[in-house]
Amino acid sequence: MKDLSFDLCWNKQWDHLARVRRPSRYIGEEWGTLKPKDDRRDLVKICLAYPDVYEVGMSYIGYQILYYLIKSLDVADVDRAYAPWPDMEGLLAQDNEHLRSLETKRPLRDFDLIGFTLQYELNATNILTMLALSSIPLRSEDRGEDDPIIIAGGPGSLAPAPYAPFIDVFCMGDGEELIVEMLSSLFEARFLKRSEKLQLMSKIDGCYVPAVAGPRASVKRRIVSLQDAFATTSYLVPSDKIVHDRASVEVFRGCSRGCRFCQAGMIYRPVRYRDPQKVSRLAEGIIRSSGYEELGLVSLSTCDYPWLEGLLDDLGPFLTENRIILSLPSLRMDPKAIDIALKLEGMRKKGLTFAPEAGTQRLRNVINKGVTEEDIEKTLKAVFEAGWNKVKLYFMMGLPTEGDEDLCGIADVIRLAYSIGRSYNKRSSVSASIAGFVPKAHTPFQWEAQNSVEELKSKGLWLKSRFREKNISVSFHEPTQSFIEAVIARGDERVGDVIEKAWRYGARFDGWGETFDISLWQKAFEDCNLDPREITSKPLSYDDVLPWDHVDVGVTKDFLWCERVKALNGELTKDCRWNGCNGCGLEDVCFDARSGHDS
Amino acid sequence: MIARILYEKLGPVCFVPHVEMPTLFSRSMRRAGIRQTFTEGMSPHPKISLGPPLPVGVLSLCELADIWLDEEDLSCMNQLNDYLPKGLKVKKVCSTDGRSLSKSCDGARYLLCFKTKKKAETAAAIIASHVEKVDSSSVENGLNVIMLKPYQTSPTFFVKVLSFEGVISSWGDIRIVRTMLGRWEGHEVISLL
Repeated sequence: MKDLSFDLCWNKQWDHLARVRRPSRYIGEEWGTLKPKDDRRDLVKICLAYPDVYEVGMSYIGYQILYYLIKSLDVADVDRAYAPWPDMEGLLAQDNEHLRSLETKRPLRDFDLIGFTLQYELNATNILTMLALSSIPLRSEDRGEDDPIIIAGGPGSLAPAPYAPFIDVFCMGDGEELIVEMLSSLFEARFLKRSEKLQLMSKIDGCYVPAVAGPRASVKRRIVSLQDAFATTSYLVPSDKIVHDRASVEVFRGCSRGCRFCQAGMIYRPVRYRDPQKVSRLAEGIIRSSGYEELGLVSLSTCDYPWLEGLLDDLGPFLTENRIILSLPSLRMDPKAIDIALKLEGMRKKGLTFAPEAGTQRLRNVINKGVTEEDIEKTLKAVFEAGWNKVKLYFMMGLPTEGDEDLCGIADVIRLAYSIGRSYNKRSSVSASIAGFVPKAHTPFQWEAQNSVEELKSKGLWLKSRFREKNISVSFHEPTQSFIEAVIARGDERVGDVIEKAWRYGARFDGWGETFDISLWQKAFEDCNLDPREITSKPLSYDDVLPWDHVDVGVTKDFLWCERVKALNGELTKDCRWNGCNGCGLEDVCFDARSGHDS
Repeated sequence: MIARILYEKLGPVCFVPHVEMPTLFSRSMRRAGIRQTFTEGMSPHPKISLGPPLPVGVLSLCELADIWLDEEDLSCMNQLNDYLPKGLKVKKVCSTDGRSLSKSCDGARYLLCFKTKKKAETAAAIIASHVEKVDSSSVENGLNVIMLKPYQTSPTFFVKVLSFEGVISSWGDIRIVRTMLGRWEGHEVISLL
């Protein structure tokens, strides 16, 4: 018999790939991956695990940074893993196969550390899937010497109570310095026992090890300067489509606009800009090394970058010559910003998305959105006049103080957009997406109650029913999902048990409409004897002890409370970059925030 | 100028869908510094025309693509292999005057491999009436199959009919390799390059 010069791969892994949806999720071998450091057996091996599918996880810029940062260290090596979709999970479980990392195909349990990022509450059950498929005990207390240490970072770790039973070490805040300290210390400690390693990790600033420090021990968020932070022109490029399929360069971190519902706007403070020359250099390098056709200049609000116009001028010739389109995520409804965006060829291809968030000026003031009726109208006019025929609008329902007139206001804004669009182009279309308000930790609205599932549902249906036009589409987030999101976002230690129960009943990918099943969670709440509405529907008071009070994110609780009082009075708080300091608590570290505006 | 390339798609990269190949190639070419021709119009994109679709999960030794270049000569394409993801390799490049792939390609040969010799024999009997030619291959438990009109026919057909007949239970029980793509000359498929 003739031997083929290539492998037909008669193995289990291939059988699995051949039988699942989107097998490219599991193959790895992306452009940009670096060789494993196999010659160094003493290195600390960490697997960056993203508790959602590949297309979502690969879009996360944080792991792009951490991957190359860890590769650059000589004490550690890194690989990646993503949550398997239930079809793949089923095959792995049925064949008693362990979940493996993407590049080296090493079982996750053979790593020293597994690092999860807690970007979204509804990914919680996927963490358990990934642990279970690796035969790692779900609960921290049941893990032994041979089990990896499970660490977690991201916004969720700043309100860690619901995750605490499953995570050994929480990493608070920016990871660039913390992860280096952690890996170096573990490298030194590689011959020590697990408990001793955890002791050591507990001493690192920003690390919270519940088993060592005890429940709700004080911990402070780490903040790095973006100017000094690790940055690289290397880039992992997937071979199949992902959600944000572009090369991204961070232009600044943090946002001081001060929207009162927004967790990102509080927990990533202060604003830290990256020098425009450096952005430019990184962008060119990343495009050359990745070959991407699209560049994203990312931040929480890129139009607020003080040097945006200069940067675009500077990058222009390079982008044109290489046929690169540029995109700016999260546009504000601010006519000046729109002017800049409208000039970009890259923005022409897509519909534009804006987030007025609320339908009336009163409510926009309550949430401190800082966008006026006039801004909205001017922006929409500018957009349709410039030739777009499609806009997408994001709103929230169930915000504190919301009344009937505010819901009518949402319908009015949608109708306004539609009529402005129609006056320029008969085929203009408007789509609106309405999310239920979820109170989040470390925000001025952390004390506020969430609407009940029934209220959110009837509000959503009412808004949908306002429109019959073919070119207006209104959709709203599934209220039961927003409800579970709030339970986890505001939950205490008891919620961990519920997550585990729900997972045991089969809850998976709860952020996905096609897999979410509220009945599994309801059974879990009953089993745990917990009334979830106690967590979501009860307004809290200043004196209440919050489960995340032990986490110092920099913004003080008093500032948040003042913001809440101002919200209820409809008073605005201006952005400190253009006005006086608001005393949010980060005064000592926010020098470079103002620098761009002073110069 | 237009470069016609013949490339192989082996290993797990065969799970990357055919429709993603133009993006994958154009990113690789940008990394290699090869200048591509872009289409005109509202949203210009690199001009690439692929050969007949290859289903996800099918390996190939002989995929074809025409790539429009803003370059003086084809030697620039020599570097492309250094910038392609693992499993993809350009094996031949030539220039083409423009007769499209869809007009030039009318035959394809496949290697079908099974877990046992018996399965291969049963499969041969079942698919014989549906294809141009089938004979056993020198590869263990393998069959060589020729199908005409590769733009209209797909090797997924084998999986469907063989699953229906109970020879295999799914894609996991068969390996399919496209081994030749080109002109059907009455007895054999001849490469275009």
